[in-house]
Amino acid sequence: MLRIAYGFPRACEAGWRVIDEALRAFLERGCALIVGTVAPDGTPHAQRAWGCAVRGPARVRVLLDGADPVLREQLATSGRIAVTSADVRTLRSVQLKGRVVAVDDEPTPDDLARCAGHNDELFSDIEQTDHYPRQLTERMVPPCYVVAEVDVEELYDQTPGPSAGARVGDEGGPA
Amino acid sequence: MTGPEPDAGLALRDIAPCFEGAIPAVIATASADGTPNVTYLSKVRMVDDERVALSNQFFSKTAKNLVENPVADLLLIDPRTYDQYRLGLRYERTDRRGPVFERLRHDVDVAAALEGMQDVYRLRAADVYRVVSLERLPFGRPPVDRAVLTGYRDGLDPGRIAELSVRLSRSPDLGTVVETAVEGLAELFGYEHSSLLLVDEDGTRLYTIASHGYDDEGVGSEVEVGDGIIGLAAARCTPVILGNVPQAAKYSRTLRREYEASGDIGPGRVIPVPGLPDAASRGAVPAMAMGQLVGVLTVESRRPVAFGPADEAILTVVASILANAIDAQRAHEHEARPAAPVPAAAAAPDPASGAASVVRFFGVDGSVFLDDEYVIRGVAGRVLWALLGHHAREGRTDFTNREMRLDPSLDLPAFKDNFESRLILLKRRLDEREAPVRIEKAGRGRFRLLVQRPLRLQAVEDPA
Repeated sequence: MLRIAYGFPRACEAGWRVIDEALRAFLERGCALIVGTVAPDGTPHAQRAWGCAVRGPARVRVLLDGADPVLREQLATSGRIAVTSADVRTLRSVQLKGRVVAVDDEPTPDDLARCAGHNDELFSDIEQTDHYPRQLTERMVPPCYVVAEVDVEELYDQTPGPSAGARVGDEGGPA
Repeated sequence: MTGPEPDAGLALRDIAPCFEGAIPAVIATASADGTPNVTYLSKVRMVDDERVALSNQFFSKTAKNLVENPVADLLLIDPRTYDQYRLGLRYERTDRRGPVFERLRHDVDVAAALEGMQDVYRLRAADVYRVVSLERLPFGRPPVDRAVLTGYRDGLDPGRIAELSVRLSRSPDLGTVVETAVEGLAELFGYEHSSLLLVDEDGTRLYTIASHGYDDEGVGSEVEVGDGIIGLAAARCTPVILGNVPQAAKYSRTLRREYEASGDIGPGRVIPVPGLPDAASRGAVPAMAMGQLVGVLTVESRRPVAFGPADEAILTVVASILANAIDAQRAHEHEARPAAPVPAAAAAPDPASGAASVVRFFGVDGSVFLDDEYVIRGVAGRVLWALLGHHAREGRTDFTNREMRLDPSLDLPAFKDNFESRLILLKRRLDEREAPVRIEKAGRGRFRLLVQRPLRLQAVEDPA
């Protein structure tokens, strides 16, 4: 297993509790997950993600598309990442921004179990609320995964509406 | 390391269904300091072969990033196959008027109309991007069988359109025209759920005159012009096709909830929509004749993305034929010579028997209740009340359209009233309710009231 660790300062070490229990429950259910990364030249890259586990007050473990070479390269170079989690049933959304502190090329059995549960919940929600059959939605599932450990530094409300983009937890401006 | 090579020859027009807005797109941008931002987008539209436009609603961080770093990465999904595409974008301009803006504004207004939020939730701007790369993303799983694919028809069938046109043009009266239309849409084109609504005398409401494929025929159900996608199609005289009703409804409900929570608006009302409660796709096409709105033709399906450009074309043609037939019928009714007096024999009271039913009429809105069950209201309610009054006072059963048009209690406009369509609506409503009072056609411009039970008429005064 290849594990890359980075030396960015960890937000949780500074005592900032970003993720409370309610947010943990939200992030770990079968929400639709998308990620944004960036190349050294500033070119952004969008991709879907396939599960999220909260590892600490400001640390998450995100399952990503292991077959996307651009994503893998950007995880290893800039390490900056944005993760948006949206509940398919209600469209309530949050965006986490932070830094990748480690990348695991091989997901653990726990990772894969979490991913299977996440995907099952996600596709069931889509089928029930949007009427798209699982035979279609399951086509999005990538052939392999890579896992990123992320230190969360910022949190934003991304729910559609007048508060979309508002920073959560301080008086910051919109994201 | 680099990404997949762009698909040679793949063009924006090849992925047109991705722009229907059925599945939210994903956009990633980055600030000047290299912080990425990723969010969902409700609407992406193709502008031309090289550009797309994105609705700029709430993604202020995206807009700020684009000022600093004018590139973006976009993911789109074809709702018929779930094939996924990646578009590399370079920001070009922001439109706040013009055709691109108007098209996106229409999309946004459709979503807002589902919760009656047109006055609150509006498009701010349309951001236009040049597409610098386009690729189909590889999937871990193969394409699925066509049987599970959603998706709309690929093209028009002129022969079937001609067949329906012939059937409509051979229909001798308005009742047959509307019935033939909804039956023909099902038989010839597979539209299993359709309805025709006509605009009322003062142009503020639409009422259902015919439908097909519903447990409850829904005749008489009404929609305010401007409300929901039917009302929007009427207000704008523009087709509205929505292939993601649940998604759009969720989005609209979320917006309402968020605006209410922010204190920007008070609690709203849910817009009732006649039709399937679990429809995934809806289409509403205005029926126009001589530049005037006559009504709206609607179709529904439980399948997502069931209707596309070909469906819009078919429905537009059929709606146009219907509108002109209805318009011609109205003109004919007005220009027709006075009908001959009703024969004396036909004026004899019919032998109604059995327990009496109570008919209550509320003058304030023209509503009629039969044994405490609502039957109908408005012009059609006043027509029924007038007919029952003639029957009670004079024992009459046969009437002419012309004499009823001249009845001042109906308050019909002098020009182009809706009497014929109101009469059809009343007839269908009474049939649907299996009421002890029915109406049947008795020749051109004539009709007969069938009273099968003694009636006690009660007029309820307006409390004002």
